[in-house]
Amino acid sequence: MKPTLIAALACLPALSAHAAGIALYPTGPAEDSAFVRFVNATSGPLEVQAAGSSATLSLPADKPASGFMPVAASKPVKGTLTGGGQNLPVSVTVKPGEFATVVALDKKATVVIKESPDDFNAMRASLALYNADPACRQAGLRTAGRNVGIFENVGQGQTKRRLINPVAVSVELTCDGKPQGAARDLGALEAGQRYTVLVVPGPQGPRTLFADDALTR
Amino acid sequence: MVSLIAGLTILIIGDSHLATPSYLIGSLHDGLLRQGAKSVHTIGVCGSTPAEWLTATPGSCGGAERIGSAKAVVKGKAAVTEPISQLIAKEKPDLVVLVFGDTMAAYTKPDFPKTWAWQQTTSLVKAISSTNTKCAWVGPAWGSEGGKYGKTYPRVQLMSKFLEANVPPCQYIDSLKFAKPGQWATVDGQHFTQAGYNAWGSAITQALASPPATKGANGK
Repeated sequence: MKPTLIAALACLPALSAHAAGIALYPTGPAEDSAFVRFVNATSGPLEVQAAGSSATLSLPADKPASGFMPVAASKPVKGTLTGGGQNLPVSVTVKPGEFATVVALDKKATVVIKESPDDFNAMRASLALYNADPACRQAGLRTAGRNVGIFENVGQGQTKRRLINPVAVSVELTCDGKPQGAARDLGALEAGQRYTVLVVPGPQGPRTLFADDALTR
Repeated sequence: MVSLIAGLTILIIGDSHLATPSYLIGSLHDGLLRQGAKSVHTIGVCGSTPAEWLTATPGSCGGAERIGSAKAVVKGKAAVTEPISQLIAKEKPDLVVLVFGDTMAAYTKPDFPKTWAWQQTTSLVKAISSTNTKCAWVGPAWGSEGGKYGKTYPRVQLMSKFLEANVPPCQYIDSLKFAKPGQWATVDGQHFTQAGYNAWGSAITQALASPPATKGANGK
């Protein structure tokens, strides 16, 4: 064997060890995350019970929205909504990358609104408008007092989301272009945080709920 | 000229790029010490993702740790992450440097898992910023396309853009600006040869030595 070849072969174990030094590891998850939350838009308190579990989630009137809970994507999430002496079974399937919101309404009705956002940004606030009120055909949101449009033409069961500057803001709901109810103060929106204004039925017509889209762990 | 790194206590955590003695745990760690850092502590856990530094999580492919000018200690199967809140409370660093990107990019998947990546990124950034500790996030470098991780230039660009938008208030250090695609040779598409890690470590050190990462850190 020629000396040069011997020298080259002698180097092989070291080269191989270097090249194989790091074992193969995943560069991401098997599939994207999926989340579900529940919102109580009924006229009384509501409890959510997960199927096959004794765990319950209380949604009183002063805290009507849960956080977004991580769930297995593409598999039904089943449970029961209990309020006003009535039980309502629910089942929702969430795709990878999707956020689903189950809005409980009076008269044993629910509206499920889903979104797959791609506006993640730590420097601005993200605000969405969800329309869960069948009586509000085209919902809109504008800044109170200044009538600057934030959202318009959000149909029933639909959602729109956008990035806005992280500032204090008061908003006014419109349905088919007409103002509905009093202005709602959203407070100081924070950069990197996500929020939703939900349009839901109320005793005097469409009303709004405001939710922080925080994740629960 | 006195470096802005001078006198800082620096903690570095991250993935496989810190988990072998000749990688960034060598070049970046040494670079910061040469710039006059008061102390540097580097912990690398191979394959780890950002959120795995919220609770102790075993590594999947080894790890290493290095304190000050001592040699890196290879951890092998004993490698485990340490919760960032615990590390910050114990070491009170002026600056935390995070090296993550390649373990989040899902190179072999057609769709980028943006919701998961957002969850991963924001949870670690929030844990650090809640302690009012300065931080800098080092994004992925080009590497070379293919290899056993299936790295692609479009996906690494997407990963880098995502991190740039989502790591504030941490400073983002865009490693893609340090070299051209494929300029630093790799052994497997993702991990560099010694020359690559030397160049990357040097470029990160220079970026950290200039504002804004260190702005205000001395005055903590």
